[in-house]
Amino acid sequence: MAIGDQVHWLGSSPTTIRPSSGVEVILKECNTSTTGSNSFTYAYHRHSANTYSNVIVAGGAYSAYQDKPSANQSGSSKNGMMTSIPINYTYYLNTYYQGSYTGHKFAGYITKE
Amino acid sequence: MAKCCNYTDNTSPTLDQCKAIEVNWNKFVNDFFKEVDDKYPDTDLTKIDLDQGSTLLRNSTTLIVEKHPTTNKPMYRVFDIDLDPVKIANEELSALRLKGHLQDVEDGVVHYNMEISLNGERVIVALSTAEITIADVIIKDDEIGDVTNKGLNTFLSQNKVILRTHEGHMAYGGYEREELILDW
Repeated sequence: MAIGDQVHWLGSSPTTIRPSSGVEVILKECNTSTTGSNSFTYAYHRHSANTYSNVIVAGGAYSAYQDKPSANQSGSSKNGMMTSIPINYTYYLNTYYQGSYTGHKFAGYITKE
Repeated sequence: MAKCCNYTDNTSPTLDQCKAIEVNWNKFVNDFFKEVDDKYPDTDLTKIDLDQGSTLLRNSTTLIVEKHPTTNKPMYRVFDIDLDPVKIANEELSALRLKGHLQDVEDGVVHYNMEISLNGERVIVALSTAEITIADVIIKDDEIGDVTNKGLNTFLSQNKVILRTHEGHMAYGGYEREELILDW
């Protein structure tokens, strides 16, 4: 059956990951990466009313409760996290970056459709 | 999504050609919806409430899946907005779900490389897109100074964009996926 199926997203450009209407997914893997000394990236929740939040679900940023891993460091960096992040059609995921984005990998399970 | 084998590259795309990716995607979604809607005239797709979920109609003993009498497509039970059960074919469910993934063509962001995620029953469950702002974005950074994220206009002016059109063999409607390859 479809519930319980794995879904994976892999890419090299900033992305939007959005389940279809009526579909719910629990993300278990969230990885984003950048390269360069002044680069960082993270994934954050977004609302369908085109609301961009500052609620970071994976990766690093300045003003939140997580550190910005790659600021003032040279070379490439990766922000990774194994977690449980619910997303659906209304509340879904975007990636944010500063500098040079190099890629992402998200994966999870379908929990409702 | 089927693995893509063949593609054509435009190594000097214009901004309008890049922006047309979203227009082409929206046309594909609307055309696919109309094609499926016309194929199943007995169903009023506008009254389906997808939030109620869907269930593949399968005999629990024999595991035989119920099929549509004329198209032989697997059938699902969904609910309408009055919470009455309705039977629809798998491609109707996909067309409805796709309709929710139309792209905003006026938001100053170009979404590209639309990729449809399918479940084990080959019904669409999600869409992922890559995206880039058309204009540069300057990020205020107290620690290291302002940082500029290059927008599509800048990449184009530096001739660092390839518009790659993949052959149309994705699962639905032969959509020809269009990808922007940016030299970061």
